[in-house]
Amino acid sequence: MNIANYRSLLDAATSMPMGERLLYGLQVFIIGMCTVFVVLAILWGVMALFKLFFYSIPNKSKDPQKNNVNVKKVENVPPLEEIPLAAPISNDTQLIAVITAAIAAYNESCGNALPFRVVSYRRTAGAGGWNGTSDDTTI
Amino acid sequence: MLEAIQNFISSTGIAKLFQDGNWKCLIMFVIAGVLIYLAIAKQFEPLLLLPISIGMVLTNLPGVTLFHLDFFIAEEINFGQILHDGGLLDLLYLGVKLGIYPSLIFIGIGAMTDFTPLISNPKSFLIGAGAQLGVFVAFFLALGSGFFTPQEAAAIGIIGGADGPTAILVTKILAPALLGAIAIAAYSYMALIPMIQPPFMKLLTTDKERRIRMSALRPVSQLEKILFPIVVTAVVGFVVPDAVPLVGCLMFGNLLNVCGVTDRLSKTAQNELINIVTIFLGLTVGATASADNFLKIQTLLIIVCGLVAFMISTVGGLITAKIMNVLSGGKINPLIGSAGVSAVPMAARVSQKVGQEYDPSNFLLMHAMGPNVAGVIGSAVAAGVFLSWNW
Repeated sequence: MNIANYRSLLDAATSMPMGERLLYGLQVFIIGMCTVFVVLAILWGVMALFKLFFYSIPNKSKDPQKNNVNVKKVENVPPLEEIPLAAPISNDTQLIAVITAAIAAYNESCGNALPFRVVSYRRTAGAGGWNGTSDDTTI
Repeated sequence: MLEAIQNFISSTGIAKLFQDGNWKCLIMFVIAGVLIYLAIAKQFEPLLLLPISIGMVLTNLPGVTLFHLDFFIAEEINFGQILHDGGLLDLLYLGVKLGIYPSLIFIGIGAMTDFTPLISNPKSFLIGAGAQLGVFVAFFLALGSGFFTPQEAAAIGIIGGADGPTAILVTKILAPALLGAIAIAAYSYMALIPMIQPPFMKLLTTDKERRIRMSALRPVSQLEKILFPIVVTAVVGFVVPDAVPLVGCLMFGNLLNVCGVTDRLSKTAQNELINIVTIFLGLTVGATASADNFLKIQTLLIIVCGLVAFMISTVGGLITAKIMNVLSGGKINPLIGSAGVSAVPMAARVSQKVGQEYDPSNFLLMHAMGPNVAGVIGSAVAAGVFLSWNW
């Protein structure tokens, strides 16, 4: 597209009657949204098949000993209020929230209701994927 | 001697500042200064805003010809002219014009992104789709304003995808003259997500909905993680081939990360590659914001349309999540809907933060990451729709 073509396009677009312009916009809007939904719905369907083929629900009854251990652990833990809590060593509350969420998700997936609180963490030299994403990095 | 001094003085930037309307560059310096302040003092998207603002300064210095936008407006690029007459930024801008930088950045983003929450809860794809509403509403508004061609309206609409590289790729193809304004608007609004989204999140959800606790995500096997990028590339490629430069690179980067045998490549993509390309991309995108090109009524409209796009995208994601919550019998916290815009991971963190204001022990972050990464794919598909449209 050279500049002359661009000018003629702009002139054509701005001289297009309002009704025609809106109709054209509506056409792109509907087809565009439908395409996005269809593509992502297909991906949803494929991912749902993934679960069917590649994921087997862990059968807890096959491992009764492990379950018993978990129950015992819960019984032996004092209430949360009684645990002497150290102050977090960092003010990085966002990072603590992430770590807490990950532990909670892991515990829940294991059927472990053990109460906990993140009181400290230590940085390592390893460069995992999330280390590359700083607080201010956004796509 | 006197003539030599006069020649020298007339060649200085100060002398040129008062010639041919060059005073406008002073306004650009002020805008660049504001961006530099936001990047350094407020830490708003510093990795992009700082190079962009320095690019703006470099391109607006009177008498300095580091960049010529005219070389790139033409449909056929004259490479000989660029190599012969072009400056540093002209050469670097080839990476934008040829669509190289956005794709390379997507490799890095793919390597950094964990798609496990999305594989674990694929329903999140729908929230990512709903959050593209702002893209098409902004397109509609921009076109309806009568100030833009359909192609330009499409480039403005893609700001609502909250995805910088995607916005840049679409704009450089459909509306190269608007690249500076659109890139600056996109990255500025992405930095402002923690301020833009919460009011809509609170407005569109009830107190009870905000306290919904979602069940734990299922574990995902290594095989699923490896198959995911391959399947996504294939599906998107078959339906919207024009989205493949983005989605394909995103998925390639992710495959490097999850396959377990290319750690070195993955680390390079996550660090050196994306950092180098970010510098080049930021500088050259900023360079397109010359005073003549930037100080127009269209820039103001782009900023307004971009804000509307962000807001509508947030609303689209929230409404989709609310509908899914109703259909699932109250198992989905609608707050994760706002994370459907593809600003990763900031939008997901906003969901987590707002959720914890109402229930400090509710952890929505991993649940919000699903829609968040689905939004990346969704905005790339929306871009593919615009690129494949027969304008």
